[in-house]
Amino acid sequence: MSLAHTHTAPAAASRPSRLRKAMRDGRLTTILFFLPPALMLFTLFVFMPLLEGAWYSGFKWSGYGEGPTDWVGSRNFERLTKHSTFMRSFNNTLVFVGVALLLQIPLGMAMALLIYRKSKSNTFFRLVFFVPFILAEVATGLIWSFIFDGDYGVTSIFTTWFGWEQVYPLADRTWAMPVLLLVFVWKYFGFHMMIFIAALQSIPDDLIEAARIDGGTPWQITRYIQIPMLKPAIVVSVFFAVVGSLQLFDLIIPLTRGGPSNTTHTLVSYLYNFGLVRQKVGFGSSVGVVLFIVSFVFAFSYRRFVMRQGEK
Amino acid sequence: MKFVNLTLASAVALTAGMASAEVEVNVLSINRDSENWRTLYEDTVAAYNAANPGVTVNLEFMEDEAFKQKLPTLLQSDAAPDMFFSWSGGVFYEQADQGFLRALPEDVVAEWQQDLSAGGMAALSYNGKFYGAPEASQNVAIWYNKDLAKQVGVDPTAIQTYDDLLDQVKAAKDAGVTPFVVGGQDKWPLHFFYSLIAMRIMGQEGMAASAAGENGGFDNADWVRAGEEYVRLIEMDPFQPGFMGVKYDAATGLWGDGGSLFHLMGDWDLGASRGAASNGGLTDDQLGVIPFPMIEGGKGAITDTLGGASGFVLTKNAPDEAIDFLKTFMGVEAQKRAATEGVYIPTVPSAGGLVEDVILKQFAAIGGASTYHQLFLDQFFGSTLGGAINDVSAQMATGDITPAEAAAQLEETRQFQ
Repeated sequence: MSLAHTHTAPAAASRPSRLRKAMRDGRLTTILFFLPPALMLFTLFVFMPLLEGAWYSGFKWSGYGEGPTDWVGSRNFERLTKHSTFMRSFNNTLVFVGVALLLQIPLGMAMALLIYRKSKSNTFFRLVFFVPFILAEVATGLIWSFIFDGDYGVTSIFTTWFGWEQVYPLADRTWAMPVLLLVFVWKYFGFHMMIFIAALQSIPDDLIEAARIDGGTPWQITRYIQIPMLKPAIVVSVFFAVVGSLQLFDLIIPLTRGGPSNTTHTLVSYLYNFGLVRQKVGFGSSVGVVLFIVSFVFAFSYRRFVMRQGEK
Repeated sequence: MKFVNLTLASAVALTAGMASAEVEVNVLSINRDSENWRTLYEDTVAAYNAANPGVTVNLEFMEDEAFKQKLPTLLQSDAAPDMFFSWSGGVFYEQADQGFLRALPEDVVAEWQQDLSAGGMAALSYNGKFYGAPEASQNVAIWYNKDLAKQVGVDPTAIQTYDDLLDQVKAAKDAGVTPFVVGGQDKWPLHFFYSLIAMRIMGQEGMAASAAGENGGFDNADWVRAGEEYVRLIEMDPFQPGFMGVKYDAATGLWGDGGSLFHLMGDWDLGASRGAASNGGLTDDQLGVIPFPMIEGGKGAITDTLGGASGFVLTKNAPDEAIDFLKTFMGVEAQKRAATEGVYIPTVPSAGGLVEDVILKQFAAIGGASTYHQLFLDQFFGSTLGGAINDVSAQMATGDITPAEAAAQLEETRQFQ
């Protein structure tokens, strides 16, 4: 009896005692002071708009007036699934995700492996490869739209030089998407490279030194020591790559505006064009809901199954 | 005592000063890239402010696309301007419907219909109420380059039918001259082709029926034929290479540099192309203008016009002073100056005769002889259906959809509105 009592008592008393402890060491004060502002901001700028967006997605509404009144149920979503441009935009977004995973990250890693050691030339190359990431997206888009301009751009200089027929990649349905992918890879690989450089620099030198003494070739060192030790960085990089690709918007607008013939829209540029520009706030909100679900499912399952595993 | 009196006197003076405090009239316009248009606005505002000590007019410009996107939220906020630019059409109807606009008093309407333009006033009216004052009259027609016409060996003034136009397009292609330049990435320049062909085929009644959803709405034989005629032109490869990657500004620059025989565009293109061209653009002597030709068996007329009917409208909280300023801003004097300086073609009839620019004069004549003026379809049908018309115009130009699919898409969008 007394044994049972001694076993259950700490469990029952743990909460009040934790509370008392928190009160004593000032943690409770910290929480009371710092949590409400953050919670309020989060509610105001994240949670409320989310709920509002979900609410609007059931209405036909132009954005004018006090609020939506014309309830259409799931019609906006039905229309989405029937709209070939939406399906194409969805597909394009997946292509961006795929390219980010299969090209951008490996390229970032390869570059990081080449220039992670501290030296003057490596610092220079690091800067060069990182500059595209620092550039504003819209500026990047405008620069590349000039490069690919078949009449006055760099492309035109090349074609004229070689005496070829002029090409207009951004106006061509076959080439517009590959061009966007190229700019996308160029713009963001430097970001992943920096993550990998930081991770590579934290690998203890003596580990690599030991491998070298044991006769490990540079390839073996990379394959069996560096890459496995980069795993936490890869996990983070993949997360940013996928979320970034899902949100891709500001490269598309200056380069193709989703054209030619709506073939290069992503989910967000589709939302902007068919929801905001055309003043169909209800319809646009339904795209937002789809985007949220996709992002949420990914982020949640990635944290649950990949990141947590990494933590272990 | 003297001190108290002085204080009292100052307080009274201060209160009186506050009572007659400045009334502010905030005006929001789209960008006026043409220098003389902007100057005209600024001069009118400065003169009005000087002549009306109690009123301060503030003028703000905003880029077209940003303007369109910002307006819905702006109108619902405390920062709403007292008057703003309007293209009229579907978006304007919606603003009026939602109660964001201030209707003009009846006596003002009667006076303005006399002094300004009754037709222009009608474009800015909704359900029997008038909300603003009209400004420029805009029309779309086919421009041609006389030098290139000579080089190709064609006479564009002889074009009467669409087939005549296609013959000259073919002649241009054979001679190695680009028939048309177009800013396909913006889509709306392409929608001019589809719109004018549709107007020639179905006429005013057909267009009204489509808008009302009668006769199958957009999914009928007339719209399918409009698409087929448009595709006939497209199949001749009439545009400059890479036209889908070019915006209007760049396309009109190409036109100003002598890049094509024809250019389907509105009268505003005169200043725009000269501004965008690398060497000042084409001179008046090199330019010619013809109306879009008739299509065989069509119910429309060659004198039916496509264009704008824009102006400025008042918002619901606009003070009375805003009405007074609007009358000056869009008034006879301002429009006369616009006419003589070649800024735009005024809507005020008494100013119309003052247009001196030889090219604008031709556009004014086309507008003057109009038997039915159709507002740009992408404005007329509102942003959703209007956007869909731009979309299908571009998709047919790239061969993505057939005329029948285009008509079906438009009807689907109309029903969904």
